[in-house]
Amino acid sequence: MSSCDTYRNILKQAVEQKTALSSDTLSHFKSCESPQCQAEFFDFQLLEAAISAWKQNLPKVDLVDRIVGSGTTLLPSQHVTNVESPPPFTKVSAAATRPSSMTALGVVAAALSLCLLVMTTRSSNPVNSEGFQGPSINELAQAAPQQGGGPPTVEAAELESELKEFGKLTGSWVQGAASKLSGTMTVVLLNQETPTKETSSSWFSEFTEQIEPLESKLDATLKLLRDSISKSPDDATETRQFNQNEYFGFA
Amino acid sequence: MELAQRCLSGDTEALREFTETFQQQVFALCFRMLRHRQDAEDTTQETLLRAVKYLKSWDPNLPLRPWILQIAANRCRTALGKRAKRPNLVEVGLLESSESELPPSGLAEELDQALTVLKEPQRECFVMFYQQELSIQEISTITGIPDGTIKTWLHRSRKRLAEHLGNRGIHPHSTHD
Repeated sequence: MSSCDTYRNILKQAVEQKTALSSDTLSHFKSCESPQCQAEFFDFQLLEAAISAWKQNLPKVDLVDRIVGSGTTLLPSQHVTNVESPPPFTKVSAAATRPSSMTALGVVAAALSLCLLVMTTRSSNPVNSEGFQGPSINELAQAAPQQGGGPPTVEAAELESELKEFGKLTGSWVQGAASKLSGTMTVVLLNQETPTKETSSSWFSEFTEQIEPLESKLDATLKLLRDSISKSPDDATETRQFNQNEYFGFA
Repeated sequence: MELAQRCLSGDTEALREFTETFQQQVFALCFRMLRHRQDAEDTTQETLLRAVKYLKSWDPNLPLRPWILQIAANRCRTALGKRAKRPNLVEVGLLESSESELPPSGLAEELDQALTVLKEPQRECFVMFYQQELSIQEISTITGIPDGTIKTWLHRSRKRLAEHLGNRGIHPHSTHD
């Protein structure tokens, strides 16, 4: 191996190991007239100068806040903290559910109060669920001609239609209340869609069962009214007078 | 190692210190590889967050810096792979933006441009070797490429870069800076 080859290998190793050239090597390349040695040394000097400038020519960055800001959730202790404390969504949800539950209860209470009010109001009319303690439908039907002065059949028909209307009204009110209650419960129990539906439907069926006796009594009254009208239309003229207390069943 | 332990124990200050220590080195690799500042910043952030996330899997018997740079190199390759699907951006936007972001520095700019003639793995090795000042053995560990191959790539890269610079009429004493 010639001395030029030896020095070129030394140059290669200096590049690989990032070591400085010895004075001996430098003096060889500066004095050697071999075109290969000159070319190699030229490239070496050119690249050393370029790399030195290139290394320094780099923009500075400060990503600390950006990385720490998004990186704190990755830290192990933060993981533990997150696991131990419920997520914000749960907190909000729980906080929001409590007043909603109260609202739902309020709605139910209001609905029941309204129901009782309607019952009470209707009980002042001929329909009474307490075993006809007030004036019976028959009596009312008989009294009606005296009050209105019209033919009894017309009055009975009016009463019948009124009863039907009441039935429809009650039914629609119950349905409306049920749907409102269902809507409220759906809002309250957002994450429990299926249980909500079950709750509302079971509540509605319970309510339907509760008003079933009232419906049957209404039907019976209606039937009785029809019978009385069809049996003795003229008896309607023979009705007695009712005072207020008798009318409301206080006498 | 102590810093890594503190990070693992959930110390926020340790995370700050960790970022301060490695951000510039990671950014340098990303910036040289991606040649786009915004992409390099995003990849740096992604790299450091990944490093923190997977710090448990780091072997404390090995140096931390090459491990982090390995993550950075992987992220850069992924980013370049994504970018390759958008050739217009590479040709028009990104190279120009890289040039405009670098302060004018003559020889440095010339070398930066010359690096584009290298293939991606060779450029990666060159950047790791010179910018990150990693040894051939460290680069071999990071990239999984044999030492001999890296040596060959290094000398070939130098030769090509020198040719490129020579063709541009640049010589060792023609530095503008």
